Amino acid sequence: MLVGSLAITLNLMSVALLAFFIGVVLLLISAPLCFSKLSHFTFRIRKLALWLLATGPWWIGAICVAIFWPRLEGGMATSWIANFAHWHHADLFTFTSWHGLTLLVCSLMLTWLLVVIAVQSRKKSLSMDNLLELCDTNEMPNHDSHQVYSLQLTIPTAFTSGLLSPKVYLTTALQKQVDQQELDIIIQHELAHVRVYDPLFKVIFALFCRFYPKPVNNILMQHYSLLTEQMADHAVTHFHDSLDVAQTLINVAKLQQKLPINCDGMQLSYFANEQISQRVYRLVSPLERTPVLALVVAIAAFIGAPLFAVSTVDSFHHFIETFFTH
Amino acid sequence: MQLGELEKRVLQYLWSEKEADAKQVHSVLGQTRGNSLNTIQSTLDRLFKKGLLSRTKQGHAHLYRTKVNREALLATLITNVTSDFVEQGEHSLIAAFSSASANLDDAQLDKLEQLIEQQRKLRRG
Repeated sequence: MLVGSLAITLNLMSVALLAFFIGVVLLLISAPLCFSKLSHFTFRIRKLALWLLATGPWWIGAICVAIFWPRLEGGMATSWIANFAHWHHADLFTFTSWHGLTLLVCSLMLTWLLVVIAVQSRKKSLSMDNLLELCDTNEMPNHDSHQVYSLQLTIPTAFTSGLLSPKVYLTTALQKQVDQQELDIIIQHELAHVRVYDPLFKVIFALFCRFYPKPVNNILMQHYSLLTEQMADHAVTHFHDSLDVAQTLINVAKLQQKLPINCDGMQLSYFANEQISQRVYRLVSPLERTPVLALVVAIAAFIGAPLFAVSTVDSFHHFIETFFTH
Repeated sequence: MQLGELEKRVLQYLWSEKEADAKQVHSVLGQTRGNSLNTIQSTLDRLFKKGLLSRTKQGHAHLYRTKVNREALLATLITNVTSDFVEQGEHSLIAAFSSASANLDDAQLDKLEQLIEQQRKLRRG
C-alpha cells in the first residue's frame, strides 16, 4: 500500500480515469442528437464543437482532477462540491485494488494505442515515399510559395499530404481533363488544406477519436472530414464563384467514377458520396449564422457535462465498491 | 507495404521490360548499382512473396513478370496514404479534393448539377 503524495497522484489519476469513462458514456448517449444538429452550426462553431466532442472526456477528466485536487480541500470550491463528491482515501493507494488494476489496464491500452498510431504513421509515410519514387514528380511553379507537385499518373486525383510541411499533389490525368478555371479551383482547395495544416490536425483528431467505440469514432471522423472539406471549399469561394466550385466538384467526381475497377480502391466509401452532396448543398446555400437556441443548448451541455461527471465519480466509486473492496 | 530502394528499381525495370530472369535484371541494375546476382535474386524473391511479381520456371531459372500494373500499385499506395488510420477508407487523413465511388451514380450527380443550374437561373433573375 502506498501512502503520501504518490498515492494522491495515483488516486487523482483514478478519478481522471473514472471521469474520462463517464465522459465517453455521456457522449455516446448524446451522440445522435449532437451529430444531427451539427449541420446547423457555422464552420467555426462546428469545428469547436467537434474538437470539444473529441477531446471532451479528457477535459472532463482534467476538470474533475482540478476539483478533487487536495489543496482545495476546505476551500470555497469544495464546500458545496463536497456534498456530492468527496475523497474516500486521498493519500492511500493499493496496487492490488480495483483502482490499481484499472489504472494498469488503461495504461497498457494507452501505450498500445500510441504504438498502433506510430506504426500506422510510419506505414503511411513509407507509402508516400514509395509513391513519390515510383511516380515522376515535378514541382508546379507560382503557387504563393506553397509546394504544388504534379504526379505522372493516369488516375485523376488531387490531394494534400504531409504533417509538418504539407504539399499538394495533382495527377497529370486530372490536369489534362479539367479546364484552367477548374484546375485553379482544385489547387486553391488543396492550398486551403495546406494553410491550416489539415492533415496534421486530422491525425491529432483521429488520435482523440480512438478512445471512443468504433461507431462513434467513425462518425466523429466523418464529420471532421466533411467539415475540413467544406471549409476548404469555402476558402475557394474568395477567388471563384461558389457555384463554379460546386460544379468542379461534380465534374471531378464524374471523372473519378470512370476509373477502372482496379483503381477503385483509392476512392472513398459511401460517406464520401454523402460528402459530395453535402458539400454541394452547402456551396449552393451557405449558412450565415448559427441559431442562438442551438448555441445556448450546446454551451449548456459542455458546461454541464463536467459537473455531472464530478457528481457521478463519487456515486460510481460507491457503486463499484459494492462489488470490489480495497 | 514497405518497398526497398532496389525493389522499386526492379519493379520499374520489369514494368518496362515485361519479363526477365535474375541474370537479365542483374545485368542492367546489379552492375550499375554494384549489387551481386544473389542480392538481385533475393530481391526478386521478396517481391514475389509480397505478391507484386509472378514467376514461371524456365530451365534452372525463374522468369519474373509484374503481377500488378504500375497504375494499380500507385492507386494502392495512394489508398494507403489516405486511409491508414481508418476502417475501410471511410475518410481520408490526407485531404483529397473529391472522392467518389460506384455508390454515387450518375443520376445523383445529375440531380446535384440541376440544383446548381437552378441556382444560376435564380441569380440571373
